[in-house]
Order: sequence, then C-alpha cells, then structure tokens
Amino acid sequence: MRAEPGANVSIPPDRAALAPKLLATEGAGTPEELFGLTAYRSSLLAHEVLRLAGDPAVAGFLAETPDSARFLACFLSDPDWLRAYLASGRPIKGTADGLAILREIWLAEGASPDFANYRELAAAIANQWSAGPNANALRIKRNLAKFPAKPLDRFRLFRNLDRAGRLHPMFRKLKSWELGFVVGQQWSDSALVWLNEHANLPLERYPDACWAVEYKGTSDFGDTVQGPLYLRPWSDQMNEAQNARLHGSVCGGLSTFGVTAAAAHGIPSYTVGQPGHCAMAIRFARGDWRGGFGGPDGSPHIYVWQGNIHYIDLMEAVFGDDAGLDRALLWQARSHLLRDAGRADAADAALAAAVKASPLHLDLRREEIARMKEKNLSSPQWAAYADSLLKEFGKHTHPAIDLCREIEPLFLSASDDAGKVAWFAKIHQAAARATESWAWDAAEQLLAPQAKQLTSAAARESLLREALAAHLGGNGSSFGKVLEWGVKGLVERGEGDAFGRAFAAAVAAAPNANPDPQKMKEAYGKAILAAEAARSVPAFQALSKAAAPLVPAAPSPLKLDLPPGTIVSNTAIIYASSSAWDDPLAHLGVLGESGGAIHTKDEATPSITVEIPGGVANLGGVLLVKNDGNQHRLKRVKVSRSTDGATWFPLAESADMPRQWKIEAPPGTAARWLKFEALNEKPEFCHLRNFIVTAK
Amino acid sequence: MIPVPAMIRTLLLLLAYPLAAIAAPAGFGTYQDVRAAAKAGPSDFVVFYAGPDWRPETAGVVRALEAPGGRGALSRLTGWASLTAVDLTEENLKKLPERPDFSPYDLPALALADADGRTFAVAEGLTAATLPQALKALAAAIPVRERRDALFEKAKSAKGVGSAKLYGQGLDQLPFRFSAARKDILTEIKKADPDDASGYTFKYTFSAGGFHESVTEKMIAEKKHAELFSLVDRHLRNPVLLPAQRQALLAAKMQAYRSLDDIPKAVATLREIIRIDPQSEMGVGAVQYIRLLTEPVRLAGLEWESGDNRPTWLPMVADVSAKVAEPGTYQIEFRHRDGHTRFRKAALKSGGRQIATDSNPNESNKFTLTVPQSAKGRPIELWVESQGTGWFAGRGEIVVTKEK
Repeated sequence: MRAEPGANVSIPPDRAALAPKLLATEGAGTPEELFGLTAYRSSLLAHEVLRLAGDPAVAGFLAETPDSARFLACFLSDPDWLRAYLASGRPIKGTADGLAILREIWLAEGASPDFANYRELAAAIANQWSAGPNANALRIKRNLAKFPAKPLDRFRLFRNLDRAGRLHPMFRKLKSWELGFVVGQQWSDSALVWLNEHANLPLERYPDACWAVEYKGTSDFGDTVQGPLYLRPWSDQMNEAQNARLHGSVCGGLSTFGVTAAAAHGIPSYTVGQPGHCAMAIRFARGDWRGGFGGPDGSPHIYVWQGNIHYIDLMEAVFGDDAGLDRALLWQARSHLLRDAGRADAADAALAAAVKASPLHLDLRREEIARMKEKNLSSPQWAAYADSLLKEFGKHTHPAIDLCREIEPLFLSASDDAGKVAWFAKIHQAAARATESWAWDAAEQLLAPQAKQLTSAAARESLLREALAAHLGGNGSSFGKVLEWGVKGLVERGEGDAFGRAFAAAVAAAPNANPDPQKMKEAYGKAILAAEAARSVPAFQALSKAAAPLVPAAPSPLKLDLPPGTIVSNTAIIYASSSAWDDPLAHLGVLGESGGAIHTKDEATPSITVEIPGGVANLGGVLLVKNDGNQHRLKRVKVSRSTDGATWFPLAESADMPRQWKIEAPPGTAARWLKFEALNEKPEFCHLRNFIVTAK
Repeated sequence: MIPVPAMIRTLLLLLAYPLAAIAAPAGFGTYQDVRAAAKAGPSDFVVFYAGPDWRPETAGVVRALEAPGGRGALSRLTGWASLTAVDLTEENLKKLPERPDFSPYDLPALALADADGRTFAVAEGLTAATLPQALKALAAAIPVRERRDALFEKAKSAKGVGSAKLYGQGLDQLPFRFSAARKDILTEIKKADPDDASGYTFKYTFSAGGFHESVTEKMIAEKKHAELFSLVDRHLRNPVLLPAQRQALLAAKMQAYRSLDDIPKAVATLREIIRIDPQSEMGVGAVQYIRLLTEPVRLAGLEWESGDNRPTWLPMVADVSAKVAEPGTYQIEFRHRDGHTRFRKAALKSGGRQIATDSNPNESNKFTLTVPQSAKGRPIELWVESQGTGWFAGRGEIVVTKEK
C-alpha cells in the first residue's frame, strides 16, 4: 500500500474524539481525494466501526480489560482490516461482540509474522460469531464442554491448515464475506479437522460428498433420526462428522457432512432448507454455486441477505465487486459521519454516492428509502423510484421487487384497480427476467397478495392476463405457477371462462406470440410443460383437460397387464428430463389406460417421473408400456421411488425392458414420486405409451 | 454476471487447476481398458483414485507409485488403472460402459477389483508413508478372494442347504460391505435354501435400521412385546450372524423394555450388547446409553445445556452452596433460554441427607425450598428430577432468589 505523510497516525478508540478530527479535514480536498489518504480512510472506517458497535458497547468493551485499548490502537489504524470487518457480511451492529472476538484472536496470534495474511479470516470469524445468521448457535457451541466451536480455535485451525497447504488454493483469495461460508459452519472445530484429514476429494466431487454418509432413518439402537437419541450414544465419544460417517443420517446430516467437508478444505459452501428436505451447495468460483442433493436453491443457512438463490446471486454481484464495495463503504461511512454532525444535505449526497458506487446493495437501498421517507415524497415520486429500482436491478429483480413491496403502499394505496394492475404488470415483467428459482413462487408471493388488493373480478382477470403474458416470455417454472394460481383461483371456483379469456388474451399479447387462434395448441403445449416444470398437479390436470379437444388421437388399443390395486396415476402429474418430438397434450393419457405419449431428447440417462399427489402408503405397482414404434430404444432401464422427491430408492431394474413391464411393489412400499430411467450406453431417446401407478 | 455455459465453465476450471488432469501416475491405463483386459485375463486389477491435486500427500503417493518397485506387494498384478478428478465427474463416469462399483471419499485411494470388476479390498486416505503397508494389506486380500471363489465353485456342485452354506461361507471371507453387494450370490443362496435353514439369507439381507423400522417399531406400537421378544430370540439362534447384527437385534428388545418403562431390563439388555463386543460401535454406544438411562446429570455450574437433557426422568444435580448459604426460604427457577426441559420433585441435600423438598406435581419451573438453620455453612446440592422433550433443545440457567 502507498504510504503518505500521516499514514501511521494513531486513532483514538473514541468516536467523539475522532469525529471532530475528521470533520476538520473537510475542504482539504474532495471526498475522493481524502479517500485516497490512508490516514483519512482509516479514521473514517474506524469511526464507522465504532459507530456501528455503539458508544455504550465500546465503552463496556474498553472497560473489560486494558488489552481492549491496545487491540483497538492496532485495529483502528489498519484500513485493510477495518474494510475486511465492515465487509464481512451482515453489519455487526449494536454490539462489541465482533471486536471482542478480534481482540481474542489478536492477543493470541497478532504477533505471528504472517498475521496480516489472516485479517480477512479473523474478520469473517468475528462476523459469524456475532452477527452472522448462525451466531446464536455458534455462541452456544463455543461453551460446550465437548466438541465446541470456538472462534480462536477456528482461526488457528484454518490458519494452520493453510500454512500446511491442506486447503484448496481458492482459500487464499477469499474475502471476509466469502470466508463466512467457510468458517461459519456449525459443526465443531474437531469435526472440521477430522474432515480435512478424512474427506479429501477433488473440487468437482464435493457436491456429492454428502453420500459418504449412509442414508439411514433409524439407528442400530432403534432410535429414529427424527429425534435426539439417534447419534447420542456416540456424541460424547466422537465429533459430529465421525458420528454421521459411522452411523448414518438423513438429508440434513448428509448435506451438513458434505458442506462441512468442503468448508474444511477452505471451499465456501452452505446447506439449504427446502420443503421437507435439506440440500447443499458448493462454490467453485465467485458467482458459481453448484448444487448437491437437490441444491443450490431454497433457503441457504449461511447468507448475507436472507432469501433464496436470487439473494445469493445478489450478494455475489454486490460483494464480488471489490472496487465498488470499497467506494460504497467509504461513502456510506462519510454519510454517517456527516449526518451525526447535523449536515443532512451533505450526508444525503454522500449516501447517493454510496448507492451510485454499489447500486444493488440492499442495506444501502434500505438506508436510502429510510431517508426518502423522512422527506415526504409524493406518490408519483415514489412510483418513479420503484420503477427505477426494477430497472436498475436488472436480472436481480426478486430483491428489487421485495424492496418495492416495502414502499408500494406509499404510491399504490390511492390508486384505482387499473392503476394497480398496470403496476403489477411491471412487477411480473420484471419477475420474468429473473433467473430460474423454484423457491420463488411468483403466484403465492406476488399474484395472490396482488389479487387481494383488487376490488373487481374483471381486474383480477386482467391481472392474470398480464401475469400470464409476462411469464409466457420468461422461465417455464413461473409461468406454470401463475397457471396453477389461475386454475385454483378461477377454474376451480367456476370461473373457467375468465381463465380461458385471460389465457387466450395473454397468448395473443405476449411478446413474439402468434395471435392466430390455430396456435392455441402450441400455447397449451407450452402451458402444460410449464405446469410440469412448476410441478403443479392442478394446473397440469386442468390444462390437459382443457386442451382435450386438441389432443391427437389416442394410440391404438392394447390389452394392458395391470399390477394389483387401483389406478392412482390418472390424477397425478408426469414430467420428463427433456422434451423433443413431444406433444405435451398427450402426456395426461400416459397416466391412464387409454395411453398417450411422452418423448425425451436423446440422453445418456433420460428419465420420466410421475408424482402422485399426497403419495401412497401401499404402492400396488407400476406398469410401463413402450410406444408403438422404435421399441428397441428402451433396453436397460430402472424404476426408483421417493417419498421426498430428493432421495431415491430402487424399485426394479431390467436389462432388457419388455413391451409391457409390470412391476409389483413389496407390501407396505410408500411412494410419492416414481422415476423411470433409461440407462443407455450412448445417448438415446426415451418414450412411453403408459406410465400407470396403482395403490392397494 | 455474464452467464457462462457449463462446458466453458468446466474448461476454465480445468485451466485454473491444471494439475487436475495430470495427477495420475505414469504408466497407468484407463479404467475401461484395464477392466477389459482383466476380464479377458481373467485377473484382478488395481484402481488408483487420484487427487485432490492441491494436497501435498497426493503428489507424494503418485511419485511413490511411479518409483521402481513402488507398487510393492502388488507388483505382480499387471492391470493398473487410474481415475483422475476429471474421470470421476458424474458426466464422465456416465460415459463408461461399466462404471466402478466403489466410490471413495478420502483420496488418494487404491481399490482391488476381481476380473468382473467387483471391488473386494480398498485403502483410502493414502500418503507416501502409508502406501507400502496399504499395498501389503491389499495383496493379502488376494488369497482370501481366491478362497472365496473356490468356495463358490464348490457350492455350485453342492445341493440344497449345503450349497447355501458354502456360498455363505464364501461371502464370509471378505468384509461385509463388499459381500453384501453380491446380490447374484444371494440369489443362489435363496434358490438353494428357500427356507433359510442356513441363516445366510437373513444375514445378508438384514438391515438393522430397516428391521427396527418395519418390525421393532410396529410391534411395539401394536403392543406385541412378547412376539417381538420371541422373534428376536429366534433370530439370535442364527449361528452365522455377525456380532454387530446380534447387537442390533438385542437393541430391539432394549427398545421394547424402554417402551414398557422397564429401565432395569433395558439396561440389562444393553449390558448384553456390551458383552458381545465392548470395543464395537454398539458396545461403546451401549455404555453411553446406560448412562443416559441411569446416571444423574451433574451440572458444572448453574446452567444446563441441551446435552444435559435425558430421555427418562433422572436427577439433575447442581451445587447451590454459594446461593443458599443463609438459612431461609428460596425460590429456585429453571429459566429457559431455548426449548423445554421438564422438571419435577426438587430437593436440597447436604451431606447426603435431604434437608428440603418440593414435590411440584404440576411440573412448574419454579420451586420453593427452605434451608434450615442446621445446614448453615455446609455444602448444599440441588437435586431435581428432569426429562428432555422434543429435540432436547432445552437449555437455560438456574436462578436462585431468597425470599424476603
């Protein structure tokens, strides 16, 4: 770093003393020029750190031990360390806990010659144990008598592993916010050490590392994994990783093992909650998260901003822009300094500069909104601001829409139905730009609350039309969810005509859509595929039935050799790994005796899956029938079953599938999903005439 | 960020970590070629699972294997294949006509497979220092595999239960994890011995977790304890079971006794599990299980943690001498921070003698206890019956207040 006069000025650990000194430099240069001076930058960031902690917390911290002052003298004059601390994730606000952790690490290890290399690591640990999303759990684990998770031990652990070359090379480049996904794992320090020693894989295999642990719901002692005793007989004898590896677990334990194994090698990772499941994600590079066990989407358990994969993507965009974030932190700190000094206009200008430096930073945007609320803006001004948010956030529209919803009442409450529908249409157009995320339900989270704000049935029909038109041009999943909402909200309430009108108008109005009514079949095909992508049983069923007059003729009759039980697949949904030479309107027929057709692309392992709503406790069996033509394409095949949609158990396998393959399930076999896979030596098409499921 | 197609991303990744492609020892063949040659032989072959490339150990193992005589005790085998980080991606594994049946999670690793590609011995987490010993151990598995195959051959010409026993003895030669995967042999055993007089079908289809889920839990729920005991006893008479399988069967009895609240018999059953093999996973676990069912929980201070919760009512003991030093009436509150722990019947004890009690039939978290004059200045312990609930998340602090 460039040295300049005054760079080593000692900085008082007292905000009241620091502020006048900083303010006295006003006019000595432009803010940007001042930011270029190490002494100014240190002082400004130091002021911000002390301000965030709060004066009472800092006073208490200083009173605890004389070492606090010694530590602060070093920390507050180190702009890189201050930057690492301020950019470590969720703001460490209203507490000196983060400073206390840094003090502990600095007192124990600050004198080591390579300590400067590990300031980002120390900052990440300080964040995770004080403000991070799992800070409470980590604080509890800190005090455990056996297998604790202690900040200083964790610092030493990663520092020592790095020194020994036992971490992935990416570790050395990670900043504090990224290191949070390494050090913030909740298993004990000894579990991390054990995993570093015993779970060594190439980076590419860590998304599958969960499978080192046997999937097992009941222990050898007969205790269920859904209770506290499953691993308890060994939990005082061995760390969590050893315990899981030796005694098995289910999705939560498997994913935690895989994630912690990666983290133990310095690779950022997170477990992620999904409905009835826990999956995982491993980060291969900045912005490149790869899922394991059904990840990376859902609700990540480590984050800067809570949410789904869209919020992880936003974090990558904001925090991954090192230069932008640097400027934003400095401008934000300056804004706080000036506001505290009563210079509101200058503070607002500094905040605007911070937002300009990092326009997608949610904390800055929330601060900006808070300031705007103090100014009593008019409805049109708020509407224009909301509009600008949608535009500026580009593909990160989910967080932008969430921000907009916080201010919607300020410009929408006085609006009539037409005005509201016009705004909601913009929301859906923005939502359609977002990357695919099954965890963001455009219907439940957007359409449903929007519809509640409308007063007439006609307005709700218009809303559905706008939403369908927007999502028809977007990703398939959201389109399917909107369709499902339309089916549930209108068709199932006897307003099928309104749904039909909205659907037809949306198809006609959608970008690139052909208004020719003859193209309705194509639109229905897309809608059915979207319903399948959204895994929406009601939308799939309703659309398939609505499209019945357009369905091609059923295949020639065939005497079926059905398994025992009653057919339950005719109320189900079917979907394939891909679609080619395929008529989605014929999918529904596959689930019943009349037959239909479903056709994938040529793939090594194409699959076709059926989901029975609610599942069955006693599966009768499955009948799979090949299409009339090209029957040679299906040879080695297998059928698996699942009750959670993520964990699959084999049901049957055939080296040479017959035309009709009847599988009888063992008594008491539970299933909700049934997956048919072709195991091809080289890519091949997969197509079925029937996929019938029975239950006893 | 500009979206990068998956293929380009993989390519960039490979460029970023170029060692990934060169971590295989020189002179090793591809998995596909070596396996085909072994089948034609027929002969055993070795698979080297390379990586991870940044670990110092990996390069050491590769160098050791490349050195003259580096293949040690396995040098007489000619088929040596390597699978690198790139080969081991799911995408590339799918391309193999026959993929390896073993997936190690601690690399570098070596696996020994028979001519049919079935793994029968492995060594994981290798270093240059552990390699010679690992090679010896793998080589020692070859005559065992030969014995196994000889028994299988003998079994083919035998009939009925005799044939099943020979197949079973063949399976018994190698570690259970590999033998349990031999569904082809299991089919032969079932064919030869449909009533399982040999016990081998049960042995090689038994899953402890599966047994507890489909039998133990169900029979306990249906109050068929006697039937469960008799079923377990019948299985325990199977002479070919592994110690771990016997222990798991006994655990079914232990759970049945627990469900009847007969803790002494549950503990006696756990002691049987320990007797079978005290050093085994179940043996070690049973010692801890007995503690969980019988021993008072002694707190280090005036706080309890989730680990202090127990599945059954047991005393929780805390030294409260400093807080109840003076005679008088005290309110003692178990203030939760998380979860819920149940509390009932509290007592103060001094010198092993009870000096105050509160029966607390409604399981309140607050107790009122009076310290008599006679206890003044003596060490005093709080004994309270407690039981965990749910996930045993209950934790908190014990707050002692003297009434005015």
